[in-house]
Amino acid sequence: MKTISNYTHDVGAHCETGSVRNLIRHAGLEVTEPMIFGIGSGPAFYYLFFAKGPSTFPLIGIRTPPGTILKNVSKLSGIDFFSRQYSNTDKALARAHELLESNVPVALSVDMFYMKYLPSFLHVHAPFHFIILVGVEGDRYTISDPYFEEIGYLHIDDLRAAWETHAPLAKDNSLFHVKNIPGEIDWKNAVIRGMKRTCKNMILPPVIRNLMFFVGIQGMRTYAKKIRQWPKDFSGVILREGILFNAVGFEDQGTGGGAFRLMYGAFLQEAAELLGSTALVEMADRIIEHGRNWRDISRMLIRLGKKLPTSDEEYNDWIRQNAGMLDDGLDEIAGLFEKAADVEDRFFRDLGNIAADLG
Amino acid sequence: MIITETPEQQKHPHRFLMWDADENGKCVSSLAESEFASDIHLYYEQRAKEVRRLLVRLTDNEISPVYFFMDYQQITVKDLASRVRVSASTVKKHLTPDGFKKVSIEILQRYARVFDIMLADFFNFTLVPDDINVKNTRHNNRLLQKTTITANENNK
Repeated sequence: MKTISNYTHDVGAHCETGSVRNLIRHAGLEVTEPMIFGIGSGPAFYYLFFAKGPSTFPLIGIRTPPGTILKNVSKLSGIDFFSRQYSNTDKALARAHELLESNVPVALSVDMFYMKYLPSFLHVHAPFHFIILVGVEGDRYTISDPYFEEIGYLHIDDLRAAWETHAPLAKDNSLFHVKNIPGEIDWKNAVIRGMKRTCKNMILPPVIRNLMFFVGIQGMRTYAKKIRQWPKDFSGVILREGILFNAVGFEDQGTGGGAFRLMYGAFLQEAAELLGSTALVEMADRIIEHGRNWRDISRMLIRLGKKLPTSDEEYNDWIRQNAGMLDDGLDEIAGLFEKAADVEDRFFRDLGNIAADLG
Repeated sequence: MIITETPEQQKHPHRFLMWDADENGKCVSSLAESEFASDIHLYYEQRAKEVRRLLVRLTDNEISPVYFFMDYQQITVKDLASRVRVSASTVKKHLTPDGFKKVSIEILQRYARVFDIMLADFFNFTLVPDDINVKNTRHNNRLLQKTTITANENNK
């Protein structure tokens, strides 16, 4: 039996930022989750038209790809993380055991579907969920999961299934832990560079923008257009669940609300204080207001989605009577997303200019 | 597979960490039950209906047990093929009742691992009333299962 001593489990809005923060805190450095999110250049938008999500709707990404935040934080703060993907679970487990014996908590990227301690509605096949191993006793592993208020427990069979999925793009058998915290960290520089990178990710150069029409601000505009097409592309229960899932994904899938934009507001407030910048205070207010508006759009999606029938058999009759109402509702929501894209366009341009002035 | 009379509900409310500005404009976090909790409840009901709809298609010999679990767990053919380490066309064959008859036990074990079920779950669907508890435990790499049936004290 081995359990990390002095480990403090804490929840997080998001699994990657929450896990990275918990590891850094355990290593002795106090840092907030929004700071990890901001330095890690978390905010993003991807309309992944080529990848199907729940209910066969295209996947929407509202933060940078899994693992990117860790890389960015490591690069900009100088915190040294050991990160490695092993060829099989036996090797990965052996390394994890060595680390636990050395009192080092170790983060893993796993499929959330097998996290039995989470409620059933979170048992979805998402092989990019970050957890921290903090102990092992026989076949039972002790887990610190930012999505769970208490410490969770996993049987070795579930851990193995979650850690080696062979799913497309999954980082099977990968782990990371803090290796070294530098004596001095230039947080100001890290914050400024993190902001610059975020702006660059959101506002692509004009030529690239046309090619990468599904990324950043242009991705938001593409998504808005596609919303109007949903009743043509989908029908029945799939359409109902797809509309609801889009909204829940913006709010309840580890975003902290408003598609991560509210947590980014918390980061900008912290950055404003660190850098003594009144311009950043104003930017924080703008993104918080935007995040709240995004939440309102999510609520509209939920209200509209709930109007659709819960069985395929009822759909044809329902759509004959309600096609106009559905089209109008989606058109209104699409319009609000187009406005949201305009807001983010101005916001990230202004933030980029402020970051350039700051250093 | 055990299909309970009453769909599984969220036994304990799950709280998420949410960020928002307080009355002074400072962005703070708080743990809160999802404001969409009632929609999650509806989602459970929807999924329970979906299980029964798929079960009818299964017993009518329209789909295979692999199709049943793939559809229920909302995995795409491409994703499933990658996870089971076979081609997408092979998975497509296994989605039909005739194709399913040709799946080897080894491949079936891989499917079972992905779906987190036992091999017996591909062949046995147990409808359980609320006053009965049925618990399956897995053995020998999901090849064997032990079933324990008890009275549900809460529903007496």
